[in-house]
Amino acid sequence: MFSIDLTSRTPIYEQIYENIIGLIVKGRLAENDQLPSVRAFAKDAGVNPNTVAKAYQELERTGIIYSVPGRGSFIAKPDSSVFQGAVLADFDSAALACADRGIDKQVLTEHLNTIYTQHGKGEQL
Amino acid sequence: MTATTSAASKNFFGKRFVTDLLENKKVLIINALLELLGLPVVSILAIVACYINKLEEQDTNFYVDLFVIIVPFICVAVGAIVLSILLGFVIALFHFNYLYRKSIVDMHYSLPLSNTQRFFADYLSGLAIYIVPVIIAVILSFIILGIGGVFVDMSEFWKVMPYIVKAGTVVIVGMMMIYTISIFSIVFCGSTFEAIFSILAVNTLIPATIGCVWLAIVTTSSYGMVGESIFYSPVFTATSPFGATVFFFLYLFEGVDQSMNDIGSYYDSMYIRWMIVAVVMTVLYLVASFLLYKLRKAESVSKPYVYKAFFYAVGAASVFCIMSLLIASSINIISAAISGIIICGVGWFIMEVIARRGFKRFWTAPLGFAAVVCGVFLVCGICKVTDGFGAPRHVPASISVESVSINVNDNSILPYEVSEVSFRDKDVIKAVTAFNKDAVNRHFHFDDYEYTSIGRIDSEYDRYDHQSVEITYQTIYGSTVKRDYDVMSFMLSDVAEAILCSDEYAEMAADEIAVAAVNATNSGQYIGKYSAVKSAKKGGRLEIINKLGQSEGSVSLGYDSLVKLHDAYMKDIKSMTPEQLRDGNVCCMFGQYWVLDSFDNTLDFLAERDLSVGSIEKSDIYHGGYNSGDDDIWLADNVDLINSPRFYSQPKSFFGKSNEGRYSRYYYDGYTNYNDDDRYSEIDAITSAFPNESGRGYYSSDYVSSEVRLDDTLLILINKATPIIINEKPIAIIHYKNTSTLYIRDTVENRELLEKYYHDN
Amino acid sequence: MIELKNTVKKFDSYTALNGVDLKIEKGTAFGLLGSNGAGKSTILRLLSGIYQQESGEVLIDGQPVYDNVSAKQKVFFINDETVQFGSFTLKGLKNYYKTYYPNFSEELFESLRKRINLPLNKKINTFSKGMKRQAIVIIALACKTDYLLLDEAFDGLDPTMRIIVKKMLVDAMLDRQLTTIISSHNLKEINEVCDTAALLHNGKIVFSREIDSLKGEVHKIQAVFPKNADGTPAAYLKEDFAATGLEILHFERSQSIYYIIAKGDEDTVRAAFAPKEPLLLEMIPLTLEEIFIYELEVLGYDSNDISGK
Repeated sequence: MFSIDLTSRTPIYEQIYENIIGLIVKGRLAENDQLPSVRAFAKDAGVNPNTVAKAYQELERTGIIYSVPGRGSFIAKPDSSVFQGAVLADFDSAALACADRGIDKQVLTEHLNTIYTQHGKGEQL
Repeated sequence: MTATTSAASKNFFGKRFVTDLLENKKVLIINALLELLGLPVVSILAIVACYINKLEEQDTNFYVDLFVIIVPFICVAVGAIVLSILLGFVIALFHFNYLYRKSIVDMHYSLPLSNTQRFFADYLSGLAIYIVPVIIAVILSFIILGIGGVFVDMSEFWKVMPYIVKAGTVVIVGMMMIYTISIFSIVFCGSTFEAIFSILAVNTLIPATIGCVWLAIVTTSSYGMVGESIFYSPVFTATSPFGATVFFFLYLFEGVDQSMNDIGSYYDSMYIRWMIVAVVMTVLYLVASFLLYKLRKAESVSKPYVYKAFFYAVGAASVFCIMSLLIASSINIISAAISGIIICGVGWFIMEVIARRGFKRFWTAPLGFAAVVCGVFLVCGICKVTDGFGAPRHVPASISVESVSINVNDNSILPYEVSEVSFRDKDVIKAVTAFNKDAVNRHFHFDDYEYTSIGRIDSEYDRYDHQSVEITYQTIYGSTVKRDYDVMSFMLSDVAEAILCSDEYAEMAADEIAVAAVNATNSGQYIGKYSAVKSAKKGGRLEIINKLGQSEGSVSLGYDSLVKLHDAYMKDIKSMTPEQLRDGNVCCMFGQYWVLDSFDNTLDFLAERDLSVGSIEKSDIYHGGYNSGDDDIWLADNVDLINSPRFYSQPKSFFGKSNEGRYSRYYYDGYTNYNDDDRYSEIDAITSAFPNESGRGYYSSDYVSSEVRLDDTLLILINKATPIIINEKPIAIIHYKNTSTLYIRDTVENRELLEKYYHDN
Repeated sequence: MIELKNTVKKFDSYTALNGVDLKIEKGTAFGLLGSNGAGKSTILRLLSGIYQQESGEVLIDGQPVYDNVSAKQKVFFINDETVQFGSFTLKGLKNYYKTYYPNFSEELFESLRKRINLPLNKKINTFSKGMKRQAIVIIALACKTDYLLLDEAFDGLDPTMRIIVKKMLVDAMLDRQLTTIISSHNLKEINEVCDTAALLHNGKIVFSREIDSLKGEVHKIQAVFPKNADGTPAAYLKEDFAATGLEILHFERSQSIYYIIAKGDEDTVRAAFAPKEPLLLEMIPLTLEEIFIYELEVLGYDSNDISGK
């Protein structure tokens, strides 16, 4: 379920963090599902348990997961604002970059519509 | 927490000890096997030998070539023992292998073990592997001997046993020294080659350097010095395994023989001294090894050298030994020095290349070599200037001498047995050291002494006086000092007096008289010591002879009487004063030991057995003479009277600097005589205290006057003559056959008698 | 906790460590990086009590290590030698170490041994290089020390064994707070296994940080700037972008494209470039290898002399 790319430039804990968010967004992890223990995760992925623990801590800090002492960590109620915030920020950069290149809002909106039409069903991808 | 840690850390010593033993199991097994082949086999052979000896004694026809049977087994046993001794080097190398093998350094140094624990655990485990099998073999041997003793009479063997045990302890201490010195050598090294080289170097160079220093002393200024005395000094024998081996053989062959058969032996105290020094040295080597070990760094392994100073010390010592050997053994010092420098230079060059792994900063190498060569020359120079570091001049202070033994080759001053006694008497020691100083003075201040040269030698009236004296001092510091001198007899007067008046001499003389009496009757079995006489409770036969060496009778003595005689004589001699010695009259003799007229107890003893010794009669002397017609006067051809004898000696040869005395001028005087006015000098006093079979000095039968008129005057003179003369010049000498030499002392009475005799005849 | 305070270690005239300050917390997997001969193995050997420092302190849990039995008992050192165990059998070697490390666990040893199928009674010098390595690793793990020091120790382990060892380390780190210190050139490995790393160069520590924050701090930037008024490409220099909190490790320009390695937090970096109105500003994280290379480049240890650039 989790795919950590050890060769990637992205720091491992960031990968873990993004991985879990991605699984939640895709619906593979639902509210109150239990995450693997730090130990199990570290062994499966072949990474440092401290790193895993750090990722879990960060997830907990941002409210994406919660932990129950003695039992483990669980997915919290998904809060779209948390998930969406970071990725929207990326969209901002891309949009501004497009503007810089002289792509105006009209072209951008048409482009957006094309993507949604080609890849999804109307208003949704 | 601290309690458990310290208990745990004490444990680690034990753990390391155990893991070392397990790691080196193979060596332990090999050693155990070798040991089993060693002493126990020897014990079995001893039993067999005793058994066969007994059989041969009982049945003279029974003969088995013991030699052929035993030799192969002895070879195996001795070989096994030698190998097990040599194993010490190997065990040391194994137990400290992490000091010179880089690949295992990390493993050993990272273990939770302190340096101290590691060192001592490794040291003691190796020692255990080395020595414990020996101890087990010894115990096993004793058991074997004990069992054997039940079936075979081994009393002969048990007599020797204490000495064998002592020799064995020498071996064991020597083994411990081998092991410890090997570790000492290894601690300096960082590679396998170096470790082996170092063991060889240290073991050779320590005795070699000491030996060469001694050699330098002895060859530079050799007056009185005894070359072999280095082998008796613990400085040489107790500081290295090689020295220990020398001591072992000395003790085994000389020492045991002396201790068993002779009266007193300095070997007993030498053994104790050796033991003390050897143990102390081993401990010092151990301490030095430990300190150097602690200072070592783990990263030193596989470096060219761990302790630079060691390499240079080895180099300097080698250079010294080679140079001093060459210089001492060759005539031309310059050529010896040059060839020595060349040889050493090559060796030094090789050593430097190895040590530096190349030619880094090589200009410092010749500097080092030059410094060492200068040092060697300096040492040799100092040796020469100080006449061998003052060694020949050195006479031990009498307070520092624990015992002294002295051997005078012409037994007319002191009997042979005296050479086997170690004298502890203070007066004896003082007299000997004074004599020693006299001899040294005469050599080093030769010109202060006047020696009247004598010209031609007239054999009839001239007597050559030469004594070779060997002195051995045992000092309280544990050293053995030996000196050899050639002297004139009068120089030994005080020594002779002190010895003859000492209690130790008294005991020895009394013992010898008793032993001689026992051996006179004991067929076959020679008894060497008075203690053996006492334990065997044997009696003997006492023969009494007079001044002329003729038997006055003999008496059988039972054991109790023998003891009584022994004690009587001893008491008499102990109470003898120097004056009595000088002036006393010799009544009779037991062998070579005289009885003076002051010896009341002895004379009483003889009187009790109806043995009185009267004066010498004409009939005693007469043997083949003939009556000249006058009833009172005989012609005796077995008596010789030498009037106004002249005594001469060779002081220049004895005391001069080596070249002066030996190779002086000769001239041919036309009478086939080689004479040298300077070589022979007259001396005006002599000392003699015991009869000498061949007479005093050179005595050719050509010069015996064919006849001597034996009148009453001469008879009186003969009765007044004495074999004892101390630091005087006799006015006449009386020879009786070839068995007795008596002196007429210079007294008014004697002079008158002599004058009268020559007037009448 | 492991501490080195101003530690100096010399070998004759060569100074290997010239005042090293290092702190390693318990429960971390710490990577020691450095060029060849930088002193990494020296540090490990100081920590195992093999070497003694010339000055400064080498402390394990507050206790100096050298010649200290209780401190050394907490440490197990695996070096990069393979010839040292010679004629020991695996069983013999295990018993040997078991004597010295009281926490040794037979069950752990047995279970590890069975997993990788090492024979108990054959001599270790008959093993392959990899097997020899495996042997000492399982013994080390079975000794259950607080600290495990590995000097290039993953060499010779096949990928399966690597995974096994890494899993064992995870358990140990979580169960008993095992602290692992690994010295290696294999930065990929350090990246996977370690959470903290330090770079050693010329006897001093260049940096000592959590790997993740390290990566978060150094950025690889590709930037394109607008041309000058006269149509020529803008030729900026490193100094043109100087700013507080920003360190430029590497600055390269090819025509109009700038390749820059900058150290600082992301916002600071963007802020430094913004005034020049970049047409393109791409920031990607570096691999540990790249961090290593560029840090050392700054210090003068680089490949430029060879390539002749």
